[in-house]
Amino acid sequence: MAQYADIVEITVPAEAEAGQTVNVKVKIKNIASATMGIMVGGALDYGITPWPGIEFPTDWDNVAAGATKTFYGHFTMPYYPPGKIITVHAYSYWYGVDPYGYGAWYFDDEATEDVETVAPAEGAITGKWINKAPEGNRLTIPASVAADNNTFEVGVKYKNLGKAVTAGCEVKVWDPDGILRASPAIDWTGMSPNEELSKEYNICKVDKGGTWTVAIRFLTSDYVELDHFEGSLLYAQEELVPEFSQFAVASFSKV
Amino acid sequence: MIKTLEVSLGQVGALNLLDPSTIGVPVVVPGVVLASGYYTEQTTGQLYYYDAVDDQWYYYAAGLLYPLALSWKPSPSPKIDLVAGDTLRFNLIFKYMGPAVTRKFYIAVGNNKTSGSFAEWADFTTTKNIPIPGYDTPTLVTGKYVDLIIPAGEAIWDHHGEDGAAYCKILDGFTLTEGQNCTPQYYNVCHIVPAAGEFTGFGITKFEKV
Repeated sequence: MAQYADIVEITVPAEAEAGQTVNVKVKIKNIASATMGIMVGGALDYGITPWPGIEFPTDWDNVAAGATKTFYGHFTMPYYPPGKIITVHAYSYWYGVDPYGYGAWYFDDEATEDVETVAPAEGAITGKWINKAPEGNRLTIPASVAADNNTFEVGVKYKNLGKAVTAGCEVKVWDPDGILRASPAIDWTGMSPNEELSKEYNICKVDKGGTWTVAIRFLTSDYVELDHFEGSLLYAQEELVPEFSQFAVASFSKV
Repeated sequence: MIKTLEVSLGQVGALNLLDPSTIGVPVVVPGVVLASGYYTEQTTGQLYYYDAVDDQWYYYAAGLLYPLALSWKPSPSPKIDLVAGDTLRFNLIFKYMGPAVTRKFYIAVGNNKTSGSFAEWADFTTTKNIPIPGYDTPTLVTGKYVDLIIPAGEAIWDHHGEDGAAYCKILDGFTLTEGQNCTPQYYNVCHIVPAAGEFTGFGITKFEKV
């Protein structure tokens, strides 16, 4: 039971990947009858000593009697086997005067929450192609096609190589003049480990000759990039229009 | 006192805007009779006027009418004598750029003249589909030809002893543009040799006093 600085809440994510920044939120209530200086601190317990600390950019404040102050901190999730638990400890302190008349911080309360280490999201773009008439379907990128005003599609196959995630592919296509011609909505889909999906996106008409480019990003729903591809998509050849000139009879003959 | 202002008007003559290279002469299907009036080419929207009395096409621009006609040129070959059953070959030459295509070429022999419209002779026309390879740049194409078999019977009897003109066109549009889908009209191309009188089975069937 806290004397003055009561930790009423500690919030951390239930799981995090190694290397990921983990945010910590600690709410401390001044249960004294007067304004108090209140400080927060924290440390991580996962089997090593000394325990690594938690960074709180603002770690103290004068808090009115009965008020609650929220402190925000963060730490980097250590590289630890998936499935292991890291215990987050949060501490509260109040500011007082010691028997010799000097000011000092006095430890008051403690709270803990667990964060489970999880394998990072992983994935790969495993296939990419275009469909266009009359050249055909599943043409390897970059494909040589006619700039004949026929519409084309971009197909992408992508595989989840990590934990279950909600993910999708972002596809952007630029024409030879660098104008963004298509950016279809991302089709967010829940993906199990090792699940592979393929999608085809209707893009636009091939109405310009030259090199079209594409950027494909395989993303989790919180926009963590799992894989990407950028490069040439189409080599579009302008269609030649039949053109006759200097048409004449070179000679007449009897055969 | 009378003052005289002398202004030279230069040479005033016929419009020299005949046959602008970008304006084709409308094609009239043989046998179709057009009335005088304005006609619009559907693809380009170009407005034409046709004078049925003089068989003359005009194109309309900036409020003015300009006469249209294909040019007449002498035959590139010596005049060829023809009789029924002969084959007259039109050896063609042109530059082509574009994809491989097949086009229908139309040839005709008609009245020999040096100006005006071309009057085709009945049965002295034919067509041939000619495949043309694709080229990325304008390429001279030779070795293509169309043969006309000179008809027998009434078709040639109407022209015994006459000289003939000829031309060739590609059947691919509403208008003819010389050098693009039509050759010039050539005069003195051929001469239809009159059939010599021939007697057979000549004899006296009987003698009698009259």
